[in-house]
Amino acid sequence: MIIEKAEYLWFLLLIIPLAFHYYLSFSSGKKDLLHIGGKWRFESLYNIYMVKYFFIFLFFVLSFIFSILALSDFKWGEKLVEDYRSGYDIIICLDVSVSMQADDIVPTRLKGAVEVINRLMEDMWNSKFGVVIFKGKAVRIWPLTDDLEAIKLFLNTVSPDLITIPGTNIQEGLAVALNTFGKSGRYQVIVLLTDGESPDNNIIKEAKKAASRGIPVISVACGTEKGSRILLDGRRFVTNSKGEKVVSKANKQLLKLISSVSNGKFFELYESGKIKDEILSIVTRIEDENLDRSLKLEKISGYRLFLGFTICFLIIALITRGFRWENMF
Amino acid sequence: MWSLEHPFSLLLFLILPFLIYFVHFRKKRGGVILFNFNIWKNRKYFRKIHPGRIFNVFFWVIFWCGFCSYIIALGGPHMIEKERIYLTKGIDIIIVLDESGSMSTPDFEPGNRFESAKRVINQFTHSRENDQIGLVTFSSDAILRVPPTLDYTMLEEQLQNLTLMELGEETAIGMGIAVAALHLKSSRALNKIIILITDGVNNTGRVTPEQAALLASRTGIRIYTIGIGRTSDSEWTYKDLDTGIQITGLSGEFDEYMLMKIAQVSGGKYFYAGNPRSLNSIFEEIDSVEKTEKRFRINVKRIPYHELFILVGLLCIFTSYLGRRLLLKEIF
Repeated sequence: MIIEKAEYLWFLLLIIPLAFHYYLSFSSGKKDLLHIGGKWRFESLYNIYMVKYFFIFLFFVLSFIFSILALSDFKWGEKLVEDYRSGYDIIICLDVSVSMQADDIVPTRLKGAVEVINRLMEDMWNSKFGVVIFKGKAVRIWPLTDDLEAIKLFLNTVSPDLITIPGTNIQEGLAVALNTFGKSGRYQVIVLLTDGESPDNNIIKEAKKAASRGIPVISVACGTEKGSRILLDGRRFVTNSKGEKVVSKANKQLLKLISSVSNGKFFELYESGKIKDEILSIVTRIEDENLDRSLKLEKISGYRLFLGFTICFLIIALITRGFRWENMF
Repeated sequence: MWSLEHPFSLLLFLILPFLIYFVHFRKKRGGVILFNFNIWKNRKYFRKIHPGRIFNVFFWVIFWCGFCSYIIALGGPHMIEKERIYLTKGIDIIIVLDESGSMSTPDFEPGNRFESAKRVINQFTHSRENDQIGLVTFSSDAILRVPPTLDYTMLEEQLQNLTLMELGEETAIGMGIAVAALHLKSSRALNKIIILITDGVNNTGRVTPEQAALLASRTGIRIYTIGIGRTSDSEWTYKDLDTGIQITGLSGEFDEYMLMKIAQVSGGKYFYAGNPRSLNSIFEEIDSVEKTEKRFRINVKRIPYHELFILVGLLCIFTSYLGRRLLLKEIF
């Protein structure tokens, strides 16, 4: 079972102020009842009021809880649906920030990443590739094309100097990569190559956006958690304001999170041979020979069950309120 | 187009009138304290309509709207989008455009040769559907601007950003063809074509146009050549917007014989465009000649909208609840 939109579950916290308000409202309602109903019949009115109040509150809150559960989109079980897609569109999302010049991967992280891309292009030569690079901002270099020669030529010249704005904006990189895909009827994948040293918190939001479009992000960690100093121009090291040499460490946790949120997978740089298998395994297609069509397994959303309960509890709350008990209230 | 996955769920709307009657109009409904006005001894009693009642009606209308929204959400509302999925691969086209200084000759009203060519290329890309189009420009050297792609918006952007003489002042037609051929070489398309647009004579580059054309024809690429501009000499002026430097020159005749030969060697065709209209019709002719069999399938995509309806329902019911409780002080 998976929860597609778990963030809606936070709404359940509203039950606390709701219950508090119900308590206050119950107390003030008791006083009003005394004023309106009069002392002579207060006791009998109060008994009904108390029981009715409790049940209306109960059913209203239950309907609220179930509507939140419906919104959260719980999914369980699988069904077979037709799948028309064939072939792969792969967007390479490459970090070209200065930290990619660190030499904890020999010769540098960036060169290591380029090797991985070249290997992937050899393995998936039948696919279309596009290239997005990012530093402080993201730039689409090549749109989706099967001209792998153009991509190889670009990779030969790639360096941090291509973008002048400093930083590591993974979020924008993913956003530009997502915009590069068109309507193609093919399987779409993003391969993110970065050291993950990014301060932006909206990255996961972008990864979720990819997941909602059925695009997995396969992240490849460029660098080690031990890290290393960053060599500039082959001579001097990057230093901070105090003149100390900056040590860049790969943030693998972030990359693992991006991949898991978007239903992709995380790899180390040396595992480049496995990326092809991972992309191919995204497609769990079942060829239906008799019907000449492809089928795929899709998770079933259980929102209708929860919404059904929501409506039921709402109706029960209305009926509880609408029935006159003991011909009094 | 809107559709419902479970239309039978809408049958729930049938109970709505009963519920509304039960909650609002039934005489002996609950939640209301009844008073016996007989104590006024047959004197007439006029009940004034309190302004708060309007709010009460308003909040209950909101409540029922929210309830309806829930029922619609239960029906599984979704938008149906149809998209065309091509089963066959189209043609791979690379447009090779001259960006030497003479292309700024203002004999192609309303602008110059270069701007006219950009405009016509744009129109041409809009007329294609499943064909990958790329762009190579050349002057002293040649460069790939966009590899063959179906992403025509990027092609359009690159065309808009093109400026003259970025790669020098000379004309390397051979290099232009060679670069385009290199990027079409490994293409798996059945038909591969190059459309060359130039107004000059090849005067630089490591490869001659004839050599490049021969190379291209060996990999099954057809080259359409378009000679652009007037045959007589005319003066041109180009001002570099970045540096402010103004360059003037004289555009001579283009090498018609060479263009014809290139087209002939590769199995393409040579055209002469003396004005923007003829350039347009040349592209229309290429467009009509270069057609492949297109097989496609219509894919129906369903975009679910139940989340929106649940959210609206929840918001309505909550607003109604808060309004009646906090503003109107309803007990329940």
